[in-house]
Amino acid sequence: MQDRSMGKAPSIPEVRPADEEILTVKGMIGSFLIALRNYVLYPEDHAMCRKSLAAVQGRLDGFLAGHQSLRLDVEKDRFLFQGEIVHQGPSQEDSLTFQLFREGIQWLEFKNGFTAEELNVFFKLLNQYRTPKEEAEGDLVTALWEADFPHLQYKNEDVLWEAEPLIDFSLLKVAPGEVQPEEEGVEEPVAPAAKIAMPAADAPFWKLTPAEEKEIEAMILEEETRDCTEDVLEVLMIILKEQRDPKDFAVILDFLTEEFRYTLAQGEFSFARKFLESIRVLQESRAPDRPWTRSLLDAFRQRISDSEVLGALEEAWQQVIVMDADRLEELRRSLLLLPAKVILTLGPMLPNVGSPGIEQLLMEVIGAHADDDLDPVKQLLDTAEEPLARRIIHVLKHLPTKDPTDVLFELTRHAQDTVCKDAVNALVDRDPQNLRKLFPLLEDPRLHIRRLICGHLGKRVNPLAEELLLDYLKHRRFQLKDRQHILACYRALGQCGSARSLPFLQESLLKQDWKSFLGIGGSLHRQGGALALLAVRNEEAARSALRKASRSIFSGVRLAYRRAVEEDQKMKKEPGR
Amino acid sequence: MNTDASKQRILTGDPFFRTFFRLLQTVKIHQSDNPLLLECVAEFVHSIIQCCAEEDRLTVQISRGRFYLQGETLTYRPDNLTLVQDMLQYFKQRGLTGLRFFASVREAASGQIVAFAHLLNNADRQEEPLAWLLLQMQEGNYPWVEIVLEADSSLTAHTSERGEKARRTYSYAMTSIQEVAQKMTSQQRAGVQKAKRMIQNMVDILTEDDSVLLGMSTIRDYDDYTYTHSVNVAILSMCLGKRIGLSRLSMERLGICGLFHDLGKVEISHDLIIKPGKLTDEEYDQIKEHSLNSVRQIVKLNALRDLKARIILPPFEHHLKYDLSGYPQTDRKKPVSLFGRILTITDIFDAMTSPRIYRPVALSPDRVLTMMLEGAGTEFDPILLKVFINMLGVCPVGTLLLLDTGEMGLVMETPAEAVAGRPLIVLLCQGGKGEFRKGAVVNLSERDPQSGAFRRNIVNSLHPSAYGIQPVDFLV
Ligand SMILES: [Fe+2]
Ligand SMILES: [Fe+2]
Repeated sequence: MQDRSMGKAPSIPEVRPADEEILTVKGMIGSFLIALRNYVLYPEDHAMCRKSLAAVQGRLDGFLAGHQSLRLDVEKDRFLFQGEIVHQGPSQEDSLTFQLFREGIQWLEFKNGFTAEELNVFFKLLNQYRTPKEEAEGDLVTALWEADFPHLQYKNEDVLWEAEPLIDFSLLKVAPGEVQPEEEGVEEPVAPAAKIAMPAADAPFWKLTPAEEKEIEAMILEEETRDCTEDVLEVLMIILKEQRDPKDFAVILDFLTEEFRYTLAQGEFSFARKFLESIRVLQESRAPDRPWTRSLLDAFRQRISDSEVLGALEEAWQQVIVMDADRLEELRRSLLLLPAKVILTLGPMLPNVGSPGIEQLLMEVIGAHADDDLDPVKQLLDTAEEPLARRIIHVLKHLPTKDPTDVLFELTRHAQDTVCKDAVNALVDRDPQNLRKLFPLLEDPRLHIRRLICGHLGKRVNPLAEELLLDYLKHRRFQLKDRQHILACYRALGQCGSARSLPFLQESLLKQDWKSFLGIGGSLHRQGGALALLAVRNEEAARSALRKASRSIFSGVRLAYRRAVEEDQKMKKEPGR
Repeated sequence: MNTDASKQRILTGDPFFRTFFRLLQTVKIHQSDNPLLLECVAEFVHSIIQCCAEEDRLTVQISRGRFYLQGETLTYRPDNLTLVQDMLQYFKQRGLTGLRFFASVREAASGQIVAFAHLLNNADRQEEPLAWLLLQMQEGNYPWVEIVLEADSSLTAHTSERGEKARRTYSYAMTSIQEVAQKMTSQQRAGVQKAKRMIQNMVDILTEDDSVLLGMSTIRDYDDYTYTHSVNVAILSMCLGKRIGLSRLSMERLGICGLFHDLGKVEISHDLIIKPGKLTDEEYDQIKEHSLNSVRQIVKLNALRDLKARIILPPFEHHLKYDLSGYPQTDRKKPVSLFGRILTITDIFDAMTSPRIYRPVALSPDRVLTMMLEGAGTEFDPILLKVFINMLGVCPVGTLLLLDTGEMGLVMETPAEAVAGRPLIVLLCQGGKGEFRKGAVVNLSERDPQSGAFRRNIVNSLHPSAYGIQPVDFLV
């Protein structure tokens, strides 16, 4: 039986309390129950909770102002105050009286000085243990004890033991029957005090010196503020190394999964790193007598890479943001020690991190893992939305060894334009030769993709682009019969082209046939040729052809030249067109 | 947490003793109108009023060499020890067993209070101090104070209630750990709630007075000692923790560590555990695995990760020894934690004072302490060992003593104020069938008034189990 105010008899009323008192207590209990309900419905910092807490506190203060304390006796379905019923309710499972009764609490006593903070904690605990919990989750009575309220006392019975009989200690056997009294008669009788190395009279020996007292204080401080995470990880590693039974090995790993999650949530990345290193050592040791450790450790490493465990990082971001470089380095190293599948967990975190530094760190980690194995990245991108996909493209763009071309190509078909754009840019940045593969996108149904490809083709003098465009225009391979598109392609050819394209362009511009004589048809390609020639850099031949066109006797040619100049100016003004 | 506040509740007696003592000293030096003296009077009155918050009186009593305030044992701590000892001596010299102050002291004239202090000071020069005091107080006008002559019945009721609670708690704690071990053996999930509750009860009991639980820690069960051993280690550890000033939450954790430190023994065959004689190397290796086994069993407990994480290290360390020369030997070379050091001490003490099948001759507690002293600085943390010996006294609770009067007695407790090495004992009377019965409680510090010599002296210490004695039957 737990009794927080020993030596007190149960409250037996000497005189019946005044009606007024009873009313006050009833009012207090009423507001208490309302507040408790609010704690069930709302989070504790919600206005409803705060308001109802203040209401209870007000009523309690009002009562305690005139009394030393308020003691409520608890029965299954009612509260009694000095023998008078002050609350009667149903004895159903979720009522407060029943909850207290179930836990064996016989009375509660609120003492003068009971604070709002105590009340808040009390409500939280009542709410937490409203329904009976799994044993592992604790119970109200032990939680109340640990809360150690200065102004709330209670008494409870040991309900957990019910009618368990007490051990009769006098029946326990203290020694085997036949044993002889210790060394009796063998030794000279000596006062035991003298047997202790220090004579009893020399009391100062047993007194701690100030230095020793200080040392004890330091030891206590160390113990009471100790972060046991590192110890636990180390000790359990020792057990894993020796563990012969696969089942127990798995049990330890289960616990370590939880512990590792906690380590991350606490931001203890150096512990995490050391731990993962020892896991790796253990895995690499390939104990020949325990081949099963391999698969268990593999599964473990996969499990701690899942969002269920690694998600703990999201709880830690706030403190991670302000961490110094060393600790961030520990985080980076820890994440690098996990299998590549960790990409699937880290990726979705990227858009929500909210700190460029950490985002950078995660991208580096993802990059390093992706450089080992691209499959998780592919898997991730299957469902990735724009913010994530763009970040991943950034990572892929910088992969040192693995070739992400296929993945990036895949992304050029992404539903989001920005993503396709990034993918195209990344591909061209990684390798200009990718233009050949990208060339079909020149006829992509999306205008801005076409423009983007065109832009890349015409970015600089580029034999590959020249070859592709020349072939495209010369042999009229375009499926897309769009005037603007074709003009843009001509212009791009002018921008990337060399002397090699000049004959074709001159021909396009100045070609003389019966149509041109009549001034009908062919105007598109004539204008394209002019546009291209205008874009050609430093080629005297191009300028000469243009001069020729401007003075041509064929009106169609002159017109094409004029229009091209206008178009060129427009294009220069709006390069995005 | 609110540990400060709870300490506050218990220690309200401190200001009273301090101001009372100061008043008694100051009154010797100064005139009755001296400002310093008047200040002492005011402080003294104030401290009484402070203690009268719940009742209109403050009762100070001595029972079994201890002070009780309002029926509660006064807690000894290093910083109040001298003061309490001085006050005990002061009361003793005047034959006083108790004083009761009423709240009306606030209306008393300071001259009255000074006069009362003079009376107390002068009493020890009288032939019959107590009778003289009673007479003087009758003749004078001191309605706000009275002498308490015999032990208050509530005091004894209170003590026996605590003893009752201690027995129940010990019993339930023992069955809890037994239940956990049984479930573990049969591959069932075992929770810790019951064990935790009992540990909390123990913390409550020993916060008030650790002597009851120290008495309980003498319980021995030869047939199934693992469980009594576990409970005893929990108790001894928490008592040691209390001595060094651990918070109650830390004491709770330490107690749980104590209770579960040998849980790993469920993995070792019972035959090996009770095997008499010398063990082979392999057998000893198996025994040595039990600290790691304990950790594994703790991991398997059906409890929150947080709790398990906090009780893993000390059981792992309990055979490691202070200098790390023990087992298990691993690459981890960190110093043993405070809780690990405490368990190392309490574990060895309880183990060596318990008769085991492989060591049928248990050593008496004082001899064990002597032997343990040799390991100070190597096996044991020397400072903690010092505190431990200080706590148990030269003759620990439960030591069976043979006296020069031919009597036998069990050490009940070593009050802080007792002459060192002269504890309070309960005499054992032998009945017709050779069985022992509880006799009178005597203080070995007692002297013969005529000769001034001690009435009883220790001839030798014996082990109670050697006489089939379960000390707790006589102590609690
Ligand atoms: Fe052990
Ligand atoms: Fe042990």
